[in-house]
Amino acid sequence: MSTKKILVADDEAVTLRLHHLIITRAGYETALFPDGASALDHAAEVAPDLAILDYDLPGQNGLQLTQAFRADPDLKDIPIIVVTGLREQEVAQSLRDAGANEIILKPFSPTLLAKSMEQFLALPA
Amino acid sequence: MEPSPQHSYGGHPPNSGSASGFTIPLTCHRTRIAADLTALPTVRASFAGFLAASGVPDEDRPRWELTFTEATTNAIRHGALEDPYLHITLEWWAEDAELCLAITDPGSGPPSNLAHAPFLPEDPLASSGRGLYIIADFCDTHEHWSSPLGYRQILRKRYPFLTTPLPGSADLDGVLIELATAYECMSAFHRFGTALISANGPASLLESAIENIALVQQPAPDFLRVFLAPTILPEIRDELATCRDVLTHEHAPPTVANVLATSSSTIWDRDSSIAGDPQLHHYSHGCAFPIIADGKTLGCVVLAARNRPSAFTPTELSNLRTLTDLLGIALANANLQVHRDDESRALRELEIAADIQRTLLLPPPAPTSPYHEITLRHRSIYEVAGDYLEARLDAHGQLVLCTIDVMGKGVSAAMLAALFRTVFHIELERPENAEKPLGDLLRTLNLALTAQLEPLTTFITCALARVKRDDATGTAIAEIASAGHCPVLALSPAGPAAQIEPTGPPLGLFLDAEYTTTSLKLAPNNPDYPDTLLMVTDGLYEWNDGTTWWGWENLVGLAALHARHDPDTFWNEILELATCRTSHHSDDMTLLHYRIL
Repeated sequence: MSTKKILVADDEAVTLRLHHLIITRAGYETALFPDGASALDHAAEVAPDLAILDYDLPGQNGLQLTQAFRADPDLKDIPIIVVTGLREQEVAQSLRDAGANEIILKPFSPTLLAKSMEQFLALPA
Repeated sequence: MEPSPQHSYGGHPPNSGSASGFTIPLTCHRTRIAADLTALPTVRASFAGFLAASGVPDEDRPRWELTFTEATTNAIRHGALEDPYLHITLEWWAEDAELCLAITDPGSGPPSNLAHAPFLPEDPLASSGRGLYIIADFCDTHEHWSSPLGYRQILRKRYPFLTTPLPGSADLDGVLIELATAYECMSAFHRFGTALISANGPASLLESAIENIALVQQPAPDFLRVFLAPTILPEIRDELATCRDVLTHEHAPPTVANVLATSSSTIWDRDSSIAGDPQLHHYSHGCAFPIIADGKTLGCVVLAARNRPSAFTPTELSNLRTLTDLLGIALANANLQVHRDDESRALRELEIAADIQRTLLLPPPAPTSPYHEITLRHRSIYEVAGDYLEARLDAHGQLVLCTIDVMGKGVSAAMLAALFRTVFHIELERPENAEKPLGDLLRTLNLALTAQLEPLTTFITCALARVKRDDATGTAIAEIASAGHCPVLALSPAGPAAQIEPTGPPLGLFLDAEYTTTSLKLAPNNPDYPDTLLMVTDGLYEWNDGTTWWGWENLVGLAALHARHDPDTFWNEILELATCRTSHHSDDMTLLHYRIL
């Protein structure tokens, strides 16, 4: 069975690396992107089992990226976790409406993130 | 075709200060080699390994190696003139989806026309002259500049997804693990902060803190308990002990009891230290941390697992300590809540008592007459009447003076004073009481009050004076009876004339108490007879300046000076003395002044 792959989009290099560490320690592979546009351009090629998107991305933000994933036939079924520092209910609601499966608030718990990843990756495709 | 990379060239670093520009990340590989071409193959092999590890596509790797060779050869040949005593510095890293190579040599760089527009040599077999062209053709950006430190160039090529930007740096991994721990803690504090706002009591806050611990354990522990220490106030301990996974210290196993006693952690990893513990010996791994807040050990949190594959890691233990601190905050908050509830209740009680005082215990105006002068003064410390005073006519029109002091403060004292006042008014209206000795009125009041106060351990001290005027002589007889109250002082123009001590025990204690009556003749302005009665409560003289009590004798001395003619000056002087000499005067102050005219 091939290793599951997680796409991560975050413009903060350190956070991107932190995600990489958390994900690889959990036994998964990563495909890391510094912005929404490149993540979207290559998502179909990467074919991830899960996407972790920062909300506050340059250009296309996490909400727009979620909407774009859900509108793409190749990407629409990929579970999406959005990480955001915004506490407003409206943000969370708009993300849910757009199809985000889970919203994790910053500062996020690496343990809880790993638990969420496992939860989604354990689901039958 | 001319290459068209993004070039920059100048006398200062391009993009300095920007994240994607000049800043060299922690992941940078740095090598310093002598300006000797024989050193090139070794360092190029290292670079090739980095390319493979970084996930650079296979088809790009030979071109990166060629670019590396050309740039480094130029630096050795032209920058350092192959002088083996000079050095070339090579750095490479992956950052923000870019692969970067930086080369620094001691030279001043190529001529600017060549740097700006690199070209292929006309002779295709020429052994040199194509380096800059190859670099510019392959890289997305080629930044290069000269400075007093030498010539530096940074080559970048963008890869939208590098499969691993981490070249296996143990240092960086350590930093990131620390960062993950910090995130874990911040996240836990954030969740706890949210719970602090939404919790509807200490118990739910504690449950939330425990959930926080359980939530971040992976794998979930087989045993998670919080034991409350005796330092948790009894008012809240039972409520907290109803929370899931919370027990009081009486149920603590020996290991936990030891943690509570010593405030020291215990961590076990398949060792025998736990073997004798009847509750915990089933668990191969575990830890017990004291919950400490504000210097007090408030409890202990225990996590244990039966078949954990490995010991708790330092990161896990660090996170657990942080979460234990949150439990400490929850428990300290519970204790604090008890204190606040008590304070809040006391304040509310005082407000109610003040309301009672305003509505029920306000002394009515004293009866006026051309034959006497009456002054009533009262100052309440708690805005509450524990004292009460009144001058009132009885059923026969005789003037009755009354001061009382209720034991205690607050609502109960105010209620008791109100009860006394009701009974006092009823009894004063009965004609038969106007004919009996005043001591008998006290006896009647005592019977009524004792019957009602019997279940309580409280009492009232009371001084009564009844003045019977003789119109023929212009004098009067003052009957005085006192139920455990402080002395009544009689003043004549010559000074203190008498002080009448209690004639029976306080009201409300003994059903069979008896009270005698003392009589005094009052005559206006006659040095042989008193003309003034001072009735006070002990708050007027029982105060101290931190070392000595002011006392009754001082009150009598001050009264002798001017209390007969000027009760307000007397009153104000005492207030001033008490205010100046004491930081906290804790009792009500009451003065009833009567003078026959």
